[in-house]
Amino acid sequence: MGEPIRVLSLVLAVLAGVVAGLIILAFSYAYVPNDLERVSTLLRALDANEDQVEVVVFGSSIAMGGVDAGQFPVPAYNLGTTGQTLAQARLLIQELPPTVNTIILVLEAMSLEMNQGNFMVPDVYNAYWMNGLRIEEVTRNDLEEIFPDAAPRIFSMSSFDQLLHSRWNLMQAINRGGRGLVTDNLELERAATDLFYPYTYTKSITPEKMHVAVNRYASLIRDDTFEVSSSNEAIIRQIASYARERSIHLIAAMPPSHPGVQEATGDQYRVQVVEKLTRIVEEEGGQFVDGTQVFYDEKYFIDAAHFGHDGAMLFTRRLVDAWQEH
Amino acid sequence: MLFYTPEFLIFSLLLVAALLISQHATYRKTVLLLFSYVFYMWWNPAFILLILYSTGLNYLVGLKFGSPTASDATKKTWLIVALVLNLGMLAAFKYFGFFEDNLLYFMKLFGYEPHWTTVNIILPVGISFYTFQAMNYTIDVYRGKIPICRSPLDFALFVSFFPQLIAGPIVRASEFIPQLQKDVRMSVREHDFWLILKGLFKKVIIADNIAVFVDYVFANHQGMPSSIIWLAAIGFTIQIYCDFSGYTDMAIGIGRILGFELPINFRKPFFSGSISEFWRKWHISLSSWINEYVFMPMVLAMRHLANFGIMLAAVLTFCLVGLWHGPAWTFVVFGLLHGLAIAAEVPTKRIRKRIRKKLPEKVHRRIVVTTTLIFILITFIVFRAPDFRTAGSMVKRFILFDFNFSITGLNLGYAAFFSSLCLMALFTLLHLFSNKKGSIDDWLVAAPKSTKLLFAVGTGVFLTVFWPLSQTPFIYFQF
Repeated sequence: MGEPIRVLSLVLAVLAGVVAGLIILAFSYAYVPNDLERVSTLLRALDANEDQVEVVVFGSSIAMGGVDAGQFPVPAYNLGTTGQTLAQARLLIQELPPTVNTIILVLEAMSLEMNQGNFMVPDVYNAYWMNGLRIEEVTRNDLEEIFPDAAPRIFSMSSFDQLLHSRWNLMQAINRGGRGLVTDNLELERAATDLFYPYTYTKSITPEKMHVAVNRYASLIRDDTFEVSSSNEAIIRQIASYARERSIHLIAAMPPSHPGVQEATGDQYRVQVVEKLTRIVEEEGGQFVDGTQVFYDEKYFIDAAHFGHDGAMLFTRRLVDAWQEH
Repeated sequence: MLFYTPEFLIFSLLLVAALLISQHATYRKTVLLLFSYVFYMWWNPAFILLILYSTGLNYLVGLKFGSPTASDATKKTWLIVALVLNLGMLAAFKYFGFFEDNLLYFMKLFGYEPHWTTVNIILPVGISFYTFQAMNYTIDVYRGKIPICRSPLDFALFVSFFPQLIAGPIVRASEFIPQLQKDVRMSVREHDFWLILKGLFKKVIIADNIAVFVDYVFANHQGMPSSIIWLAAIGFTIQIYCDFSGYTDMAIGIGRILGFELPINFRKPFFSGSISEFWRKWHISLSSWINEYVFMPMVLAMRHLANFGIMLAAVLTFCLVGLWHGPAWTFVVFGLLHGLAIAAEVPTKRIRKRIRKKLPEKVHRRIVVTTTLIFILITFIVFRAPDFRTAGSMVKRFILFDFNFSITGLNLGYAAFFSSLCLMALFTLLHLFSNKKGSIDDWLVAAPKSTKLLFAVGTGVFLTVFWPLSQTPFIYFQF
């Protein structure tokens, strides 16, 4: 066989590998575990609505491990996901069944200050897309209005691009598997499948690591002035408007910070957080819950941001009381 | 444009189509030159002026050397003019900001508050590479080592041949210009296919995926245990090797398809038994250039200082090597450390020879290779660190091992830690394999058909499934 023909056959073999790779991507997503498989759990649960859910809680991993939705006297789901931004919450909100009458947003001061990076990374949207979510026009318009650069880029990806993009899943599966083997402080299964209290961390970190983590977390809050970024304020108002139109009660809650972080940022910072969020939420007809003082002891935290079980119970109690007040 | 982008594919198809129109050498060289200029202008059209400047300057100075009326003094003057203008361009674009920052620092140290506006100069991609390449021609013509290139087309193509324009290998005029004077014939060989595929795999699958973990550790190094610092150092070393050698493989493969032989740039550098051996195997085109045009002249000038002169030349040379990599003191210190290590080989030569005689060859080789590798890892921490504080903190934890192997609370699982470990292990296996059996591309050429097909299909699968979601630029593009 002439050399050019041989090379051509090898090039075709590589292309055949590419096609095989695409087939693997198409079929593997449903079977390969990843850090966003919780998305699949939530979408299926909302679609089936077996529990006739009335209260839903959104938020990041702080909400996941900080709120036991089972404590509510009515059916409630914890729809928190790792790193969930308000934009992601807005995306999920379009999937809420008509039985929902209360939306609870668990907010974080540091995330609320961010303008850049608070939309969603393409992997996250891809996870929703691969699990069957198709963005509605209203949701798309709402988010593109607030994120005119990032949102259209992600939402206008073709089906082929989304399929190709889902390759993040396979690399992440390796990391997830490795994490499960080596670390003994994670309940990954629970985090992925629990609709009520997807508590992930089973152990506190060591005091030395806590010290480093607290300093790192505090350093991310750059100064003692708190300002809600324009995009986050816009999403909160959008979610509030959505809730009002459907007679859904909106509760926005600020959880407690680690005492080390609070000390570093100062009480003035905390007061500003509460004041500014109260104003925004109440202007929109919602209810703001100041949970920042629910506890102020390191023993309620397992790291610089996440609560231990006792802390979660105290914070959940605060939310339930606030819901009952309404 | 990068070699593995759709734009480059279109560029290549158009280039091949244009080359097929005529077999005439001048026509083909003109096509290659124009396409090379388009390739360079893809980054920034204005940069073409710098290539034209470099081409024009060195071509004209070369002609001056050939003038029948040029005396030795005149030729020397022209050489100095050429070096000043070449290095001046490099200094202006690459080091102006560095000099300005340091000047401002010292002025503030002495209580002066300057009020001028700092100038931000965009670094033209590849400037370090083609400047050295062009200077090589000028110096070699001056020395009488190569004839003057009277064809402006040949010379322009020598300076700007696109496969090696942006990140080397730095091509010698003595090796490349004679190739331009033969027929320019394209050829597609199986070996070049495997070389390009190997380069793509190294860059995209290994380097770019490991980069996620490395970047995370360097950005969040406080609180990281020594074990993670070690892994990040190993990761970065593998990353920079795969990134750079991957690019070189692709450049060499593409060059060969177009009918040109480019020099090898890496020869298994991680199996070196000393730092001087490392630099004979790492970025060979740069180290041989530096050796010939900087180190040896320095040694000659300081020969009256005997061994001390050699040592001093090594230190100064490698400080310049460090500075070549970038306008930052961390790069200079990287170079300084390598210079000191090479300098230390001079007075310790006898002791090392005695030790070598006392140990079995294999044991000795393993010891020297391991110690050399550890030194390289430490210096690459300095190379990669954004500042001295990070470098110092990480090197300290590298050396004073804390035996803490816990990774809980470090969020490494979200920083591609385990996948990076797998890739580092894969790289190590492939590297050890190639050390025993020869280069993988050579091995594949000789392999049975079924093995070749398996590798080709497997690489296609890997590239599809593990192609990183965000592109990491080639590290050496910034140098």
